[in-house]
Amino acid sequence: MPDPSFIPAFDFYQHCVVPWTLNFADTAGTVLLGALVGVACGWVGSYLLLQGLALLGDALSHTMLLGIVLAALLTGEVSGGPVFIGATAVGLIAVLAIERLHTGARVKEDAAMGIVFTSMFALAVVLLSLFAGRAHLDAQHALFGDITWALAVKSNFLGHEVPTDLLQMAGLVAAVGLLVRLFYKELLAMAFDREFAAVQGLRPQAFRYGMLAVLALTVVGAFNSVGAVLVVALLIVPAATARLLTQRLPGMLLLAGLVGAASSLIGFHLAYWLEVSTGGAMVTAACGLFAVTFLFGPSQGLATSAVRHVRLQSRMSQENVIRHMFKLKSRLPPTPVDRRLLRRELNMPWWTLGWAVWRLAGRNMLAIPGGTSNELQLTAAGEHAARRLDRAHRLWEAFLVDQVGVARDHVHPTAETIEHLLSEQLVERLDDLLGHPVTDPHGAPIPRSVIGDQGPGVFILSKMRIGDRGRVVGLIDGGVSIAESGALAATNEAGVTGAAARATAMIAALKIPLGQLLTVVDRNAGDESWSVELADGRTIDLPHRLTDHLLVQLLDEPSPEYGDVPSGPASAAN
Amino acid sequence: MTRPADDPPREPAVHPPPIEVHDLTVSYDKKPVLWNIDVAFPEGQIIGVLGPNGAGKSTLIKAIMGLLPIESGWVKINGRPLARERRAVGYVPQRESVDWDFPVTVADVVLMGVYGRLGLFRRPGRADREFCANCLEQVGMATYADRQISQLSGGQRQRVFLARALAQDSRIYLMDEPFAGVDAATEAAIIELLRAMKRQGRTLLVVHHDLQTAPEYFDSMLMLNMRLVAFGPTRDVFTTQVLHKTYGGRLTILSEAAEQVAGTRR
Repeated sequence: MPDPSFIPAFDFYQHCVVPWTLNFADTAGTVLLGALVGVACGWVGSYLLLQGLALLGDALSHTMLLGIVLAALLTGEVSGGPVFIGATAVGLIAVLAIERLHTGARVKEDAAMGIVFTSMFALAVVLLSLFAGRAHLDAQHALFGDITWALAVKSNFLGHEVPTDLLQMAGLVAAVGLLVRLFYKELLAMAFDREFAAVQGLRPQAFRYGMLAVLALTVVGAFNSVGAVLVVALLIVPAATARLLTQRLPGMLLLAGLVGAASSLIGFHLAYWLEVSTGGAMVTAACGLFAVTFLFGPSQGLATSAVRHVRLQSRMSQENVIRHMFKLKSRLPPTPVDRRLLRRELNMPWWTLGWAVWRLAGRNMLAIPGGTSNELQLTAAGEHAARRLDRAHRLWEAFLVDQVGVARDHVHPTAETIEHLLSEQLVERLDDLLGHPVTDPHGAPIPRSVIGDQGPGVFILSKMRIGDRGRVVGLIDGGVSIAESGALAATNEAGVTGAAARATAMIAALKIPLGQLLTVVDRNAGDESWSVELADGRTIDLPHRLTDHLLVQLLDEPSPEYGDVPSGPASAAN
Repeated sequence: MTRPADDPPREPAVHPPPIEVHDLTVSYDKKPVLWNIDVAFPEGQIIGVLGPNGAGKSTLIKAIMGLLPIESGWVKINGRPLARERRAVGYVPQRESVDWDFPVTVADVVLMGVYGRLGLFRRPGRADREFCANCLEQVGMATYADRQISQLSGGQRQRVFLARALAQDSRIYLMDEPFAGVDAATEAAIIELLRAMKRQGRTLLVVHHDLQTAPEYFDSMLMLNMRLVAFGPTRDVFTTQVLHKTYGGRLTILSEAAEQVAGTRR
């Protein structure tokens, strides 16, 4: 026996490689037997867990010890048919006793379960100690099992000496797999909605007893390897782990089996390293896998969601910093911003601001020109990002006021949060819904979209602001743009349908050629029409539905005279 | 819209009634909850089952479907024992009767409606899946097919149960409080669906607790209070007198208001 105060140093080669090279047959046999037990328990446990029967599984595996002990005393054998029959019979008696206790007498179901399983379990323990010599069975093995001992009993299989337990468990796993496949729909209907299954004639009661029989088989099969107590953990823990990882039954079965098998492999090496009981180590490994999943699971893990929360907080404070610097540009001279001013105005703790600035500088959104880190300046990338946030914030405010009817002075706090969460597409849909507003409800300008409709700087005419100058580059209809050489008048054919066809016809009537330069001079009467001045000096009114289809390249250079034609590839079309 | 009470009573002479209950007594924990129920439901109607809490409404429909042991009497479906007419009966259980955290999608749940007619070993095929998609469409839940059921609201869960019942494709339906705890829009959608099912000649037996909407929804009513108080066309049964007999002294303000509604319709 190892000294309990001494934990041997872990050595990968010594504890993970040597057992496989030194004695492959025994190692593989142990891991395989454990894995088969784990898979069978994982599958059966999944169905128990889904019906809220985890406790019943616990109770039954304890009571079945009585059946196993009785059969062993009568026959002198601890495996085989009589043991299975004994365990199943005692299990069914326990189920009936539990049901009778809590329907007839005034005993609650959980209390009934506790009474029945502990009394039968205690009786089994008493019998075990009374007649320990008669059968090859002692309390230690009965409760916790011993895989090495389980592998020692061999029988003949196709001319080979194979451990009996290995054969039994392999057969059991194959049988459970086959049953689950054959009766998938009956088992699913029974587990999800027993009454509905009964109405359809799917015999849920028969399948329930069938499931309990398979549970008995599994407990008996696992008895020699992990014992009557530890098998409970293998029934519940892998299934519970799988449930945390998936939302579908087939996935749950697959993962429960995998976790059960992995517990065997990890548990074996754990036991080899610490020189402890393999069954105990296997259950410890299963519980470890559950703990890891509970903490770090992809969608529900505690640590995972904590990390996600911290990341979101960090992103929001960074975004608050750049948006505030963007807003400061309108009231301060374009010099670097003092960090203390930011802290005061954002009301942000110094460590949060410090972290945000450090991250922003790392992402090349902030520059620290002085090097003292008290003077901060937005980079082009930072300004780009800030513009998007400001646009989302102000469009959301406009949406709340115009469409939802929220009071003007109530909208700012919600917009402060939502600006970080809205997707680019949703922001553009808001813009469309609101008719491409230029100012927010407080009268502040809403920044232009930074992405454009057909590449940077290319917008539909209705998104242009007063004073904007641009060049007509095409027509658009639901993402399809028509930009052929020659006048747009020629494009009322294939590919142009419905509203776009009408718009094309109107544009043709107005004689707006591709490459035409225009300047927006006014947005009229609730944004119902746009007044544009063309390069030839004409001023025309374009209705909103038409301006939604005309693609314009926004020209950056200021244009004191409207009539000039800058040189460029598109101007050749004129 | 049909005025329910205007339908002439049908003669059951040609074929047997869809559901016939004869001298049915049902006990729960040895205490009888239904005494000597005798009733034959007419075909192609929406029939309400009404009565106070503990009157045995759910017990009656569960007994009809063989989910509870019968103490005495018998139930016949289309003139035959239930065991030979299982496919004829569809069921919408109470919403709380299942674990909505179960790892299945909306489509999986609806597909369970076809399990009954597949038989052992056969698995649902493409035709079954398409049929179920159509059922989901009929309850306005087609876009939710791949959702995990725990993500649904109460009204959506009720719609999923109705879609599963549609997938059963039965001639007779027993529904346990399909209107319980759903919003107004869902309630309107559900009654529209039930009326469409009725137009296809199906018979619907619906446990209901809201006396205000009852006269509008049901062609016939079964008034229950551990015994059968009255059964017949809504116009004959939904009267102050019968309601008093059914609900005893336990009429609430809401149901008194409904009585006044009933009084104005007489």
